[in-house]
Amino acid sequence: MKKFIYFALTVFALGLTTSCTSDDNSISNDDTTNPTKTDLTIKVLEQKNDHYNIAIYSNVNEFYAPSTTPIIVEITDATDANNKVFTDVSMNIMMHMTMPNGHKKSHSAPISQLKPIAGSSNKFEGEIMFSMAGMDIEKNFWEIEIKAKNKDKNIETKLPTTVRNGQFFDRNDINSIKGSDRKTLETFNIDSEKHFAALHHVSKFIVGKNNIAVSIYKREDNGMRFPEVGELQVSIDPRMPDMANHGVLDGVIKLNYNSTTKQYEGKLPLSMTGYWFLNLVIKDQAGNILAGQPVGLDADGKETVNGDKFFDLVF
Amino acid sequence: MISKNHLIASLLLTLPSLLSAQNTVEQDTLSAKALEEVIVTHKSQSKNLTEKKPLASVDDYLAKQENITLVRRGAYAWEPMINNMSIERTRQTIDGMQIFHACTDKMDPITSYVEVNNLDGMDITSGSQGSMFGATLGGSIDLRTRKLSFTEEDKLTAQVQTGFESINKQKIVGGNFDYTAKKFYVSGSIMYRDADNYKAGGNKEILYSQFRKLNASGIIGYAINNSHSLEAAIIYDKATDVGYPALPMDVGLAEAIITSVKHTYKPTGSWVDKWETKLYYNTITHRMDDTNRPNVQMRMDMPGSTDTYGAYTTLSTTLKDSHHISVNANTYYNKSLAEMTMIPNNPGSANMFAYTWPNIKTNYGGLTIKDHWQIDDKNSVLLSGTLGINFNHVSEKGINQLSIFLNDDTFKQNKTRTVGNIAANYEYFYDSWLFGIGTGYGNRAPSVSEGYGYYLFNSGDRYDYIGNPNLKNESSYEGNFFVKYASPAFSTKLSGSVFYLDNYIIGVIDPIYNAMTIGGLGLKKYANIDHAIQGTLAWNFTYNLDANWKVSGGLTYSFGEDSDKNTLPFIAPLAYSTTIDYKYSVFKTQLSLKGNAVKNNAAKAYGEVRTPSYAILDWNANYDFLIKEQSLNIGVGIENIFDTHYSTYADWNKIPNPGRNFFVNLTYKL
Repeated sequence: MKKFIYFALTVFALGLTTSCTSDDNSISNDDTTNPTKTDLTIKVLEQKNDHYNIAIYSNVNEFYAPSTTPIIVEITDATDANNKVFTDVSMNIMMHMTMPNGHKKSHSAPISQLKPIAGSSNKFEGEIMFSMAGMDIEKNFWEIEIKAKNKDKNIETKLPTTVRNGQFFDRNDINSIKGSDRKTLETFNIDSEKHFAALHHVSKFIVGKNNIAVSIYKREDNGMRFPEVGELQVSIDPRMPDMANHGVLDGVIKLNYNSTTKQYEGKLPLSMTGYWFLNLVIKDQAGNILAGQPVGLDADGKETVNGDKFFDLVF
Repeated sequence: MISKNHLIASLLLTLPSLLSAQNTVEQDTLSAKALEEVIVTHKSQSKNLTEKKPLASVDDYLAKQENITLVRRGAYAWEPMINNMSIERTRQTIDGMQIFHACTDKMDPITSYVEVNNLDGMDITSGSQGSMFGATLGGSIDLRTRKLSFTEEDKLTAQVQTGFESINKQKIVGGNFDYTAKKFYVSGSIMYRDADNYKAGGNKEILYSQFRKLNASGIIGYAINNSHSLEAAIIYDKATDVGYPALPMDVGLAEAIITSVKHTYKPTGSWVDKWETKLYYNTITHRMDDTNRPNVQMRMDMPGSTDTYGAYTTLSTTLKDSHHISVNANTYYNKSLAEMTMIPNNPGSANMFAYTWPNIKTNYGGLTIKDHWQIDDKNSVLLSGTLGINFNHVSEKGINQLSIFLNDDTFKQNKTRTVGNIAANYEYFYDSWLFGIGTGYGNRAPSVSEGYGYYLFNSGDRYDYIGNPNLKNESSYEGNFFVKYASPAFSTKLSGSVFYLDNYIIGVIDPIYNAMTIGGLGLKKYANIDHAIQGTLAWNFTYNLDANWKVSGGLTYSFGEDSDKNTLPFIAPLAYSTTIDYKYSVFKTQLSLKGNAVKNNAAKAYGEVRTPSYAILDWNANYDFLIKEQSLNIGVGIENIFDTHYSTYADWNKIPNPGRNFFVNLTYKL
C-alpha cells in the first residue's frame, strides 16, 4: 500500500512540475517563416582613404537592381579609435557605362541622402535607388561617392561596385516567389518622361499597421537630377498570392503626400507574416491611371489578377 | 440602461422582504431537496453516471440532461450548451476549477477532458443561480469528480470495465479502485477508448470521425484530525488522432493535466458547517491541423494552449436554522495562446503566421454569497449574488494585429471589467403541488475569442471572426417559473425561463475587410447588438404504472431572436422524448424514443439552414450477475434501431449521426 502512495504522490508531483515548466514567454515567432533580412549588418563595400576606413553595410550580400537599397556608411579612423566625429557627410551615386563603340556615358540615380544615425557621429544611413544592373567593374558599374569632414579635413572617397539583375516575382507564376528578390523600385513613364517609384526601407514589419513611405522621382537632365514629384495619387493593395490572393481591407490603401518629407505616406496593414504583394497604382489628380492596374477578377470572379506594378515584402 | 439596472436591483432587493412579510407562521420541515429541483436541474447522486449504459461517454450523458443541448462536430468532444447558450454565456467547471478550452474552434470543451469513471455526477444549474464559481448568463455545469470519505474499517473496492460499440468499432477498457481507511483514502481510475470512423444511417462511413482517448485520474486524501482533511487530485487526459468530420481540420493531440490540492474543515458543534479551500493548476495543449486531409489548398497548423492557476474557498453555514448560507471567494489566472501557421503548397514560399489568440492573460477575482432561506415548511427563497472583477491583458503583438481591424486606436493592453450576478427564486409548496418563480441578472465579460480572437474561421457560416476588445459587457435579465405536481404514481412538471440579453455579443459582417481563409465569405467582427431574447418552455412527466413499469417523457420548446428578429444560431426546435422502463429485481430494460420537429426557423442570418425532423428509437438492457462477493454487470443495447440517416440542428455543417449501433458494456466489480 505504502509503495502505491509513494507512486501516486510521485505522479502527482510530476504532473505539477512538468506543468509548471510551460514557457510563459512563448510569444515569439518560431522559424517557420522565412523573413527577409531587415537589419543593415552585411558589409558590402569597404575602402581605405588615408588613415580612414569607409565601410558600407546593407541588408543584402550583393546590390541588385532595380531596388531601393538601404545602406549604412561607417567611417572610422584606423589610427585613432576615439576619433569618431564626422560632419557634413553626403553621398552621390553615379553609373558609368562604356558603350560598344567605346563612348562613355554616366548617369546618376535617386537617393535618400545620408543622415546620422541617432546616437552616433560616424554612422550614417541613406538609400540608393539602383535603377539598372551593371556587372563589369571596369566598363559597366556604379560608383558611390562619399564626402565627409573630420577635424576640418575633407574626406572624399569613391567606392565602385557591381550591381546584379534582380530576380523578381512573376505575377503569372506563383512558384517564382521562391528565391526572389524584394521589389522595392518600380519604373514608369508619364508623358514619355521616366519616373521611379521607390518604397522606402522599413526596418521591421509587424503583423499590424506599418508606416510606409513611397517617393516618386522624375528623371531630369539626362539622369543627373531626380526631383520628387507630388500631386499624384499613389495607392497600394496588399495581397497574398500564396493564399488565393486575399487582401486585408476591401479596397486600396491611399498614401497621402507629405510636402515636408516629399513622400507619399500611409499605414500598411499586414494581417499575418509571409509574402505580401503590394499592388501599386499611380494616378494623376484627375484619377487617370498612369501606372499599374487595380487587382482584377479571374474567370471565376475572384480577385486574383494582380497588376504589373508592385512592391513586395516578406517577413 | 442605468434605470433598467436600478429597477431590477431594487426589485430583487425588495423581493425577500415582501416574501417574509407574507409568511409568519409554520415550522421548518421541508428539506432543501424541493428547491434543488428547480435550481439545480440535475444533481446526480449515483456512482455510475449512466446505469443503463455504464460506459457511455460524458457527452452521451450530458445529452440526456434537462436544459443541455450539444453541438456535435464529430464523434468526440461535443460542445455543451445550457439553455441554448454556449460556453461564453455559461460557466463550465470541474469541481469548481476553472479550466479553459485551448482550441479556438471549440473542439475541446472542458467536458472532453474527463471520463465517466472519474466522475460522480454533475451539477447543472439554469440561469443566474449558476454563479457559484463566476458570472454566468445561461447557467453552469460543474462536473463532480469521485468523492471518497474516510471509513472506520479499511475498505478496498475496485472494478474493471470493458465495452464495445459496433458503429465505430469502439473498444473501451478501463478500471478504477477506491481504498478508504480511517485517516487515509486513495483512488485511481484509467480508461482508454479507441474508435474508428463511425457509419451513419444507411451504412455510410463518415470519414475523419475516429478518435483515441486515454484518461487517468488519482486522488489521495489524508485526515489530519476529525475536522481537518487534505486531498490532492490529478486528472490526466490525452486524446490523439481525433477526427472532426464537420470541420476542415482534425486534432493530433488534446492533452490536459488538471491538478488540485484541497483542504476541508468540517467541524462538529461549530457555526461552520463546512469550509473548503482549494488551490489548483491545469494546463491544456491542443494541436489542430489538417495533416490527414487530402487535397488541401493550404496546410494549416493551429496549436493552442491554456494555463490556469486558481484558488477558491467556500464556507457553508446555517444561521437561525433557516438560512443555509454559502460564501465563496474565487480567483484565477488564465493564459490563452493560440497561433496559426499556413504553409503554402507552392514550394519555397514563406509560411504565413499570426496569433489567433495573441497571449491573453485573464485575472478574475470574485465573491459569491448564496442564502437558501427556508422561511417555513411551505415557503422558501434562494438568493444569490456574485460580484467579480475580470482583468484582461493582451500582448503587444495582439494590439498590433487587432489594430488593423479596429477603426480607432483607443483600445489598450489592459482592460478591467466588473461582472456579476444576482438572482432570487421563491418556492411555494402546497399539498402535492410545488410552485416556483425566479428572477435574475447576469453580466459577463467577453470571452478570449470574442475580445481578442484573430481570424478565427467559422466553417459553419464561412466567415473569419475578429475579436473586439472594446466590446461592452453582455448582460441578461432572466425570469423563470415552474409548476410541479408529484404523487407517488405520477409526477409532472412545467418549467420555463426567458432571458433578455442586453448588448448581445455576436459576429457582425464588416464588409470593408477581405476574406482571408480560402473559400471564406468575408469577415465578421464581434460586436454588441442591441439585444437578443431567448427562452425555453419544458414539460415532462413520469408515470409509475406499477412496481415494474414506468413511462416518462417530455417536450421542450426553445426560441431565440436578435433585435432584428433574426433567429439566433443553435436554438433547438421542438424536442421530445418518451421512455418506457421495465425493472425486475436486478434486470432493467428501457425503450426510448427521441426526436426533434422540423426546424424551419433556421438562423439564416448566421449561416444556418433548415433541419428536417427526425425520430430515433433506442433500446437497452442491464443485468447484474452476482458471483459470490463480486458482481458482473452487463449492459447491452441498440441505438438508432431503424438505422435512420439523420442530422440535427446541432450537428455542425449537418454531419449525419451514427446509424444503428450495438453496444455491450461489461463491468466486473471485484
